[in-house]
Amino acid sequence: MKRAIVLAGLLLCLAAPPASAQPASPEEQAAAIARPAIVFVETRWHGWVRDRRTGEVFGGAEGYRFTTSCSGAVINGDGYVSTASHCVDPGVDGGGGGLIDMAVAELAAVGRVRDPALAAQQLAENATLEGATEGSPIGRDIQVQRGTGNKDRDVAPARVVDLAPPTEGDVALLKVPRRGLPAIELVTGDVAVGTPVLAIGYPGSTGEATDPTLEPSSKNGQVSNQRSQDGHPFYEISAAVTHGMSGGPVVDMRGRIIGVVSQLSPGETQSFNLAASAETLAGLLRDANVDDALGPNDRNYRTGLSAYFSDDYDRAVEYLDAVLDAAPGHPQASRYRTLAVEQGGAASGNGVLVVLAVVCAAVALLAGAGGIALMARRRRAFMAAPTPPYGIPIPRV
Amino acid sequence: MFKVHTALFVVSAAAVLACAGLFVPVLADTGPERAEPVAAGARPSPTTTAPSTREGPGQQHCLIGSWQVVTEQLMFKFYTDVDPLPFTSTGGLRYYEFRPDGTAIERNVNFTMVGSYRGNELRYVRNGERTFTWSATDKTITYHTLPATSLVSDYYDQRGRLDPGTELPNPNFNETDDIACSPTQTIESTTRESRYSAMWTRTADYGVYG
Repeated sequence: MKRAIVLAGLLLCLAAPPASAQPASPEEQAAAIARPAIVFVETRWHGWVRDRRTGEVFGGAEGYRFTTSCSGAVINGDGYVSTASHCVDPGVDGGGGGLIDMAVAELAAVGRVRDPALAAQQLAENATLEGATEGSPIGRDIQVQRGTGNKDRDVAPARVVDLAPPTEGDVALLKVPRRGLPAIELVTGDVAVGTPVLAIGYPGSTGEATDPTLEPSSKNGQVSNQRSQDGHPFYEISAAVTHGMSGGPVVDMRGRIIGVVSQLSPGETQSFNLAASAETLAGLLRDANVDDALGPNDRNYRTGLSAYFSDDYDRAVEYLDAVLDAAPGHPQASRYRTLAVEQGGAASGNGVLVVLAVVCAAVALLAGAGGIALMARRRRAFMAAPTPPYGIPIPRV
Repeated sequence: MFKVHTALFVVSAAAVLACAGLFVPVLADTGPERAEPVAAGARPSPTTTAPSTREGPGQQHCLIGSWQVVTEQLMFKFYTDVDPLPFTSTGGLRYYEFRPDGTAIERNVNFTMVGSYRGNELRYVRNGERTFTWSATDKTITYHTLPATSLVSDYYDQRGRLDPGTELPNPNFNETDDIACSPTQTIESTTRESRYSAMWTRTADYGVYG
């Protein structure tokens, strides 16, 4: 019998602790906060290259067409999206560079290129990038895509509100005709070297490297250095980002943007990448009179997540339900709501607390009333007693 | 001494405190905020860029550039009263420069063609420059006009130097040849009676980048 009791005690001691939703790492929570705001930015380019020295036009009758794939983040739910300017800029450091590369490839195919890099540089200096008529702008068609759950995509045309050219900060502000999008906050000011960060985006093209729900990838690292290019602030980060992640946000462990993935280091075997500082993005927002404030659904989502990671599953379900009521396709809210329910969460709200408070109020009222009634009865008894003569003490009540 | 009404007041006060303690979080937590509903589901974007093309004939980027003649042969009417004779290039230099503005320059420096007639060597040597207007497809080249020329041809046979020939501009030049352009060489030929055929190699003097 003793043995059985000892064994039972041992088993109880060894039993797994109650399941907890504490994040496995700070990166998990940061990714959970930031991922709903991540978008895929696809730009289709169409244009010709004209050598101003000779008048020779490259691109034939149809012109050159190509598509660039980048990432971005919603920074204001009313349709404002940040990305890298080299993803949308028509100049030689942006899409125009792609036109030049295509012209160099065409020239190389007919034996007119000795050094491709030098050829591209010569064209960059001496060529005009243009549309179907001389001097017209090249064609640029920007589309912003985001997952809306159930493998659906919301594909929205975008226009460029403002940009800091690739050589002057490499950040662009886009606008899509949407409202109530999940957004992400900015952190301005210095971010210390060594700060852990996550770079989030879509490596490669959507068709090749991402699943049909447009779920972005997260790459962790840290701020390796603070740098500047011609006076424009950048962070050197150690996260292993790839080309498709250009324009994606670099977030701190609270899921706030500290930078925008900018340039990769060509030929580097180690991870060594630059992210444009969020300061540059904040400047664009100020100029455009756009704030980066979170919307009610963003706050509900963060509260729900915070409750989930604090093991307050009822509250998590309540807030995530509110998110899903407003945005039924919110994949992350749906996912964390499911997890919270699996942990026993239910949308109970404050009902129990309210009932208990009402009971307490009733007890207070009844006890108070009882006390007052008792006091009143004794006072009446005292007043009804005969007045004693002087010298005789009043009997104690 | 224990007083019942005091105990009741203590209980009431405690209940008030408990009540307040329970109501504070209820009142503090106003619950989720109301957010505007967001449209869900796939919303594809319409195409915003209309297709466009560039007018005008496409330029033959392969031909544009500078070329040096390596070999050339043709049937040439050396004597007015003798049928055309076969001639082959043997020396000197001939360059072409095809420009994207539709002009082409031919430069000759002692460019020499040699043939024979009745055992005697015949030669003609060309010097000077010719300017053509041209256009091309991927298989043919047309020289439309010869707006300028300084070409001088010297003719030699067993008797020595014959009368030189000078060329005049010709607005109706209009000659079409077959062309096969590759990155490093071009072959120009014709099926006309001259049976002209030449091979050029590309040089880096003009039209090459990098």
